Amino acid sequence: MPTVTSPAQTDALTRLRDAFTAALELAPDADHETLAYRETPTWDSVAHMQLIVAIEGVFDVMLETEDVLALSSFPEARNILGKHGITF
Amino acid sequence: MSSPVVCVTGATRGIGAATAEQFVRDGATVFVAGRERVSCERVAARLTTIGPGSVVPLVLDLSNATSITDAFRTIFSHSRRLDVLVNNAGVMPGGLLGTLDRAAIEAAFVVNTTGAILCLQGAMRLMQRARHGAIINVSSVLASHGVAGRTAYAASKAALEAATRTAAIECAPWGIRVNAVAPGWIDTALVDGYAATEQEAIRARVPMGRIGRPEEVARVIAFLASDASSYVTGVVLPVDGGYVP
Repeated sequence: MPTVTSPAQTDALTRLRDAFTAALELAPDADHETLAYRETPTWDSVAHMQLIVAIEGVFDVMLETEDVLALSSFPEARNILGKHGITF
Repeated sequence: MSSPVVCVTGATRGIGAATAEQFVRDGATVFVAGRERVSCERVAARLTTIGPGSVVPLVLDLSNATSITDAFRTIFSHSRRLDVLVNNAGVMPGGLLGTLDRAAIEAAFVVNTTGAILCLQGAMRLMQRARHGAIINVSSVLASHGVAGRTAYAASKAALEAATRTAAIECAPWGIRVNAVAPGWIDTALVDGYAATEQEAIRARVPMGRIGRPEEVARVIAFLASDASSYVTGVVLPVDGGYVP
C-alpha cells in the first residue's frame, strides 16, 4: 500500500529540504536523502551550525546539543524533528 | 537597543543583582537566574516594583547541565529570543594550596568555567537566530593577578577569560559579541569572606583607595551589552579602581 502524506507533512518536508539546500548551498536537483555530514563537500562544521539555525528557525524549535551532534543526515534530521512533534 | 531580553546568572545578590536592576531600569525583560527559586522570586518581586522593565525568575544551577539546558529552553519558550547574557554566577572556594582538596578545585571549575561555557553555548544558540547579541562573562582581577588562598578560583576565572577570547572569534560572524569584565575588590558577599588582613592588603593596592560598588560593575556590563560598544569583542575590561598587583 502506498504511503499517504498529508499536505502539512509535504509542507514540512519541503521546508526541511529548503533549509538544507540554503544552508549547504546545494544544487536544486540535489538528492537530499544521501547527504552526510563531513562527506557532502559543503557540509562542514561551519555549514552545520548554519543548518541548525536554519532548521530551528523554520520549525521554531530549539534543538538539544546532543541533537546538534546527532544531526548527520537528512533522514536523521527528520527523526530529530519528530521528537519535537513535527511529522513528515 | 529596544526592550532587550536579558539573562543574568547569579542574579540574587551582589554584582548579579545590581546588574539585573540596571537592565530593569533600562527597560529590559530580565531573567533573574539563581539556584533557589525563593531567592529568584524575592529579587524579581523587588525589581518589578522598580521597572520599567519586566522580570522573570529563572531557576538555574550551573553545576547541573540539565538545569542549564532547561533554563535556556524556558527562555526560548517565554521570549523566543535572547539578546544579552550576563554570565555572572560563581563560587569562590578558598584555602591555601596545601589545604585545597580536589572537590574544592572541581567545584570552582564546574561552576565558574564549565557551567559558564555551557551558558555561553546556550545563549549563542538563541542569539544565532537573530544574528545579534552580547555575552558578558564576569571574571575577576584574580584571573590575572595572584592572591594567596585563591588558586582554584583564580584558575577557573582565567579559563573563563580564555573562553571569552575564543568564543568572541567564533561568535563574531554571527553578530554576537563576547566580552568579560574583571571586577577588583567589590562590596559583595564573596569579599565578606576575606580575612581582615587580606582586605587591608587589597585596599592598599587600589589607587582609588576604596572598595567598589556592585552598581559600578553593573554599569560597565550594561555598556558592553549595549550598541555603544558595538565594535568591541573579545576583551576583558578591568573594573578595579586601578588595582596595582
